[in-house]
Amino acid sequence: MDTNPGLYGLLAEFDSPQTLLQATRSAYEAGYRRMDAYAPFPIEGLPDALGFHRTRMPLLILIGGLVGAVSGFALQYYCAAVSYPINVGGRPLNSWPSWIPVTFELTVLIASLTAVFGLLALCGLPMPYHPLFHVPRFSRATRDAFFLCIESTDPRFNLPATKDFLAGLNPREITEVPQ
Amino acid sequence: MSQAITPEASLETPPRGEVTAAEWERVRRIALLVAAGGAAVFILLGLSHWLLHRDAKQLFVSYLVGYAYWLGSALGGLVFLMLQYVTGGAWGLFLRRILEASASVILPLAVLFIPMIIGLPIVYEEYGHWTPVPVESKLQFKAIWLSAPAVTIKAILYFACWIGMVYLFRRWSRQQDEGANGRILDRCETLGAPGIVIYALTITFASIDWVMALEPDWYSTIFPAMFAVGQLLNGYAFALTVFLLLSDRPPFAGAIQPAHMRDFGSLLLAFVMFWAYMSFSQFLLIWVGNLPEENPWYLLRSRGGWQYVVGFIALFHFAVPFMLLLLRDIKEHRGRLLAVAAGLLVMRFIDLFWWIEPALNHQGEYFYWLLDIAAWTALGGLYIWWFTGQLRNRPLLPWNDPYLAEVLRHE
Repeated sequence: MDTNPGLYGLLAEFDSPQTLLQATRSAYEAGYRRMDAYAPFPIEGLPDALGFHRTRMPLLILIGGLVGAVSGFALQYYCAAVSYPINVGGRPLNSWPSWIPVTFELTVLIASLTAVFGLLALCGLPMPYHPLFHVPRFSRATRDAFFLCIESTDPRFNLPATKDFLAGLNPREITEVPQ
Repeated sequence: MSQAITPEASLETPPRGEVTAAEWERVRRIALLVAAGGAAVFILLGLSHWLLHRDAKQLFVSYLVGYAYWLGSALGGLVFLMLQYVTGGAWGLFLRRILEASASVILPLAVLFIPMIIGLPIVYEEYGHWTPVPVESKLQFKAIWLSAPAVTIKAILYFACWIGMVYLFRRWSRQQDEGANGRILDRCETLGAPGIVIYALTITFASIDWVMALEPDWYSTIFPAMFAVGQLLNGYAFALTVFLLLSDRPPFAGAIQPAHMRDFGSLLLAFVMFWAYMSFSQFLLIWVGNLPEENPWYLLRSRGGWQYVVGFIALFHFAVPFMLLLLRDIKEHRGRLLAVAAGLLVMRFIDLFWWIEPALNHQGEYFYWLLDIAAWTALGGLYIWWFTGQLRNRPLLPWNDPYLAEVLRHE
């Protein structure tokens, strides 16, 4: 592991999605794990090549949905059967079929709010500063360039060796990224 | 952010050859045997039922349960055929031939409607007679509208619409297969959109004539929509089941991506939810209205054992498939998605059974449901026999469709 505290990682730029995908696969095979790829559009297979694991998002959204369902039902039950019980058209006080639409809406609302804010939180967004912003050409990651960054925190990271490895993947350019 | 696609997912099984003529023949022979077996059981049970209870109505109503089921499968197929012409998408190209073959069963189903016409005065005791019953002026229109001659004329009109549309779509797709490309797809798209409207209108009146009229005092404006959504789910689940059974054979094997499988699963989920939405809406409106002329339909269907049936339906027609179809592990896996689609096909039968059978008084009868299953089996065997006969005669993919190349390029 490289001990240079001022280095964030090594950024390699590629010409096409195919070369980026190939390079990412080679890096994964070589044992690198703390790395990320940057492209202007989603590339089929790239998350697999990076070894994306499953996230906790589905569980969080499920919990959000259950909270919404229980609170939606409880709200109406409390209003109509506990706080101000009133006979409407001879139906029971707990007229549950009437509670379903609001219960459903709150389930969807809380689940989707959990999805949006949970995603932002798990991704660490908003992120006003990122070391890669030091690289001027990196702004092209949103237009027409494809990048692979191996971070210095990777156990296998070694500045000269990793640089040689990346050079062997046929990149357009390799940049050292400061913290 | 996309998740890792499990490697064992779906279509990685060792390649098998195309479905051979001998295999089609075997399926068709089994289908005919099943049909004959179902018919024999129906006749035996029907005879004993008649000797015991002197009641012919039950026989026709059991036939109606099976008939409504397979009619739903054919008409649902027709609507999805039109829908895929109107909306496009890879799923539609994969399913097109299966949907066409399914829709084509409407022709024998038209012939199989004849027993229903014979049974009209027996099944729809109140109004379904050949001379309209005189009633007080308020109900005069209803008595004429639901009388046997009116129902027969309307049925001929419905079947003319359905058969006409199926004929045109199949004719055009055959012309496309033969290479006459040009404006074929335009024509299909042009008929598809109004075709869906024609279906919506015809099935509205047909469901009133054939199912709602079993309890002629009861009415619900949402019932035809609920009935139609049931048919759509039926037609799609049937086509998807057949497709998944064929998906490890050429030309499907290798052409299907996990993304396609997710689309198939999500579409099934959408229609499970659509069905639940319609079914619950009708219940909610009647519950909130709480009127004595609407209530009996649900009161009948939630007592005397039926409460277990409706609970089973809520659980396995909605809750369980809803949860399962949210999961990628289910949608991307051929066997699991197949199990969900086939399970929903079974649930469609139970749902129709629950709609139709409680209209009769079953006091002291315990095995009338065997008649429903026998009728369903007999008609189902005939359905599969005709369906496979149509399917085997055409290539399983529309090779001359200009969009197909685009779909297959992503291999």
